[in-house]
Amino acid sequence: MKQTFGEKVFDVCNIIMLSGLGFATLYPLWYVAAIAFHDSTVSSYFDVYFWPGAFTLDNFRVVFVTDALLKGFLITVLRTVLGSLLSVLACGLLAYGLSKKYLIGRTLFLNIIILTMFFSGGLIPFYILLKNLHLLNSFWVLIVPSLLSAWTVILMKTYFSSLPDSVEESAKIDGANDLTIFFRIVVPMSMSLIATMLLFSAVGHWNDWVSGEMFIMNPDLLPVQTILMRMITQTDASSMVQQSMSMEFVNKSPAIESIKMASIVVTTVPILLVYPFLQKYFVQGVMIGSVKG
Amino acid sequence: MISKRLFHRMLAQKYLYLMVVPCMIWFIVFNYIPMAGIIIAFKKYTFAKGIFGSPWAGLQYFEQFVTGYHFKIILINTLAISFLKLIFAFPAPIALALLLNEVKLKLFKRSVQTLSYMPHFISWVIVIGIWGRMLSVDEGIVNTVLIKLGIADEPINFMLTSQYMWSIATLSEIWKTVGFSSIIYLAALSAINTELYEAAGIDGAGRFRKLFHITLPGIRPTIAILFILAIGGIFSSNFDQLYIMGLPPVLDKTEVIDTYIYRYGLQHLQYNIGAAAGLLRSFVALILVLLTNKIVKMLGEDGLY
Repeated sequence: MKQTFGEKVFDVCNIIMLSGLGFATLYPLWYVAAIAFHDSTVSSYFDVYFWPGAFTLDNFRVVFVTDALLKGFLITVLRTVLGSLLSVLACGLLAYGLSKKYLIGRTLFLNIIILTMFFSGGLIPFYILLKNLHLLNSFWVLIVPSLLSAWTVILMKTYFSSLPDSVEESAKIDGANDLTIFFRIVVPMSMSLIATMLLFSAVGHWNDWVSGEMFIMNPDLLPVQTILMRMITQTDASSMVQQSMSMEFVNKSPAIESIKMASIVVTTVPILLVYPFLQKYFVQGVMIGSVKG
Repeated sequence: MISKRLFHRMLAQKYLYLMVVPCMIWFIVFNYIPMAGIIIAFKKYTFAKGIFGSPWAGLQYFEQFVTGYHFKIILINTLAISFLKLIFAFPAPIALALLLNEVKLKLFKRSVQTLSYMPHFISWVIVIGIWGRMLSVDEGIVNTVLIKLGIADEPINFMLTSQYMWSIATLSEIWKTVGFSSIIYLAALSAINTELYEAAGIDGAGRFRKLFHITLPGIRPTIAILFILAIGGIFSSNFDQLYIMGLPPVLDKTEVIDTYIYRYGLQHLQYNIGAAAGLLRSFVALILVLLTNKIVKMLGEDGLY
């Protein structure tokens, strides 16, 4: 089709605007990475725009010998793996059951779940519940309270309802029960959905600092994001890092800012590495979620 | 007998119940017990006596919260930050989706999308950490540029100056969410029948006429639903973001109901007042969702339910 002059102008402006947006998204991340590789004991941050003024890996070395950070990473990896597997398993089981229209009590179950999307008891009663369940200050507080979410269950239910019944029916005639059908037939058929849900759940676990801040007092159990949050908000974070650093580094400790930035890079890179590969799936996932079910 | 038949039908579904019932118990425990626990807002609660043993307090704690010295500040902050986000951060993904939808170069479109989703996967801790570094008075890039361009004479301490907090909250919210939120609008856009555009093109409609008469009406239901949800969130401003931004010198502009409930209710052990504030918040949010849903329906759109 022939383009008018106005349309060409629009296209050019559009591309410039969107490129600007792309730059505005990427540049802050790039800048922080440049500082993480910058030796602030040699020259100031003024030198850093796109590249470190004085290149060094020392900031990263400090991150990896800081006890608190290492422990935090370990806790975070453990909760991310365990938490997202358990969470997707639980949501999947519930969603599959609810996707069966003939399930007696289905409407009641659905209503119970949907109400939680609009009303909650709030933080204080929740905190008291966790205290009474003896979950406070334990590793499980990072996993159990976030096991199920109404949003995920509804989304998975919508997806399972859209699967053809015929395969399941024939399996039933062969004597398979619902559990077997779920694990042997439905799960393999829904890998793209499950991958999406695992990604969302893993991102949630990886990025969560609130439960560490609110429900955990023991410093050995803190997730890395909670530790980072304290480093970022506390001005005397330097002492915190220095306390748990090995002696070798105390003498030539780089500026705390650079260590913060290195920690940011180390915490962010894993998630940014995974997501482009899964992009196709989560776009589908969000689209399924947008279908009203 | 009917009940016997029902029992047999349920027995036939025993494996489904095995999948559903444990999860339903989880929902009851982790969502409904806290809802019942709200009564501590009406009780002189102490851990020793438990919820049921504590004496009633009437509306005392609601009164204390509403007449408290902080109430006006946190109400203003909660409303102001939420409305700023509603005005600027809510339409942003719609605009982005519309702009992306007009791009014909597939590769360029996909690259911009991939980049714009990125901040969604980064935690608020990291986002504020990154913004704090950029805006830092200690040789941050923004101050460096401002000084070199002669706009500022000396570095501005953005993160520790009250007056910048609302702007930083709104802008960082847009930065973090715009790309990912646009997915849902792009999905809605791709569902619009392309024949409509061709027909309108033949009738001589330009780009803007197509936008106003086909595109926007096409995504109106999606906008309506997300708007209802956004309204419901007015009294739950982003805890993650504002708690991290709330350093002592700027608390007067960042303290909102959610951060107040944590800081005052949990950290200062004022459980009752915290619970009262939480109940008020949940209640108002529910009313707002119901109300907006009704209004949206009256305007001829499908509501949430």
